[in-house]
Amino acid sequence: MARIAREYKHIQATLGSESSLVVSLEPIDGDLSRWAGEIRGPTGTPYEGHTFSLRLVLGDRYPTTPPQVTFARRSMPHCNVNYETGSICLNILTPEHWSPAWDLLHVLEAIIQLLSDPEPDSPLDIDLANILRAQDRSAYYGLVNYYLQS
Amino acid sequence: MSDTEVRAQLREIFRREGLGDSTTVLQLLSQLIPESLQEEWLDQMAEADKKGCPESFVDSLPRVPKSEISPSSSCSICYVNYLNDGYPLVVRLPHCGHDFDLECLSVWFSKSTSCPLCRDDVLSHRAEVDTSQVELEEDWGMYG
Repeated sequence: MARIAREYKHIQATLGSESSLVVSLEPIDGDLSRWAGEIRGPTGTPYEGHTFSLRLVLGDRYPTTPPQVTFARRSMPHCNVNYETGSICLNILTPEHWSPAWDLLHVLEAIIQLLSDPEPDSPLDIDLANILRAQDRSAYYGLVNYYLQS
Repeated sequence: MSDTEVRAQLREIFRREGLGDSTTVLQLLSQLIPESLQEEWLDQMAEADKKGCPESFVDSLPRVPKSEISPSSSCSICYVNYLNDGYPLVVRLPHCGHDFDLECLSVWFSKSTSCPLCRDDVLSHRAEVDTSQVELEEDWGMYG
């Protein structure tokens, strides 16, 4: 049985607990190479109280190669996310830093972590990153909030 | 082959298998650039693809005997319990001690040189062994 089928069983067995910020993770139309995920924003961040949709696409060589993960377009204001396209800059999702020991749930956990700890040194949104680099977290959070409300 | 033929073939490949077989696509695409650059380009592509461990390294990894495999342990790459297989081929990385199915690890090491669990660069330890052997040979030359 392919590794992703085992992951699916594990995901079905573990998801649904109240404490997890991963709300759902399901293959799209039964196709195990395309997944839809939903995560809750972590507490203590402007993302708290919001739910975000992600798309995960697995190549033929997964888990030797990392999945491609994107937020829904124009849904995630974050200095490491391209707001228009939803693409994410996260080192564990690059072929150089990916490990085949990680699975889709690890990936979602890492993305939730990224929401709590933005990395202004490898930005996809230059403006948000510059505000963070200026050590102005409250302005950063204010701007994120503005995007999320609009 | 003329450009039109190359285009027709590319269209055929994409219709048949999408981007699945990139080798054929690359070979065809290379025919669209000047002949003098074709070989160099393909060589560079092959080089960029490698970066893994030599096969001899994977072959040299110590096997874990079946009697030492605990019933609950599984491969961190395929997530399958080792003992599901009546004849498990499990190898252990000599430096960090992490173990994996030989088959899973050799696929990973064809592209990478780091342990999937701790990121230890497995080839970095091999170099030390190599130098010591070189020194040994030189000593033999001087005194032998």
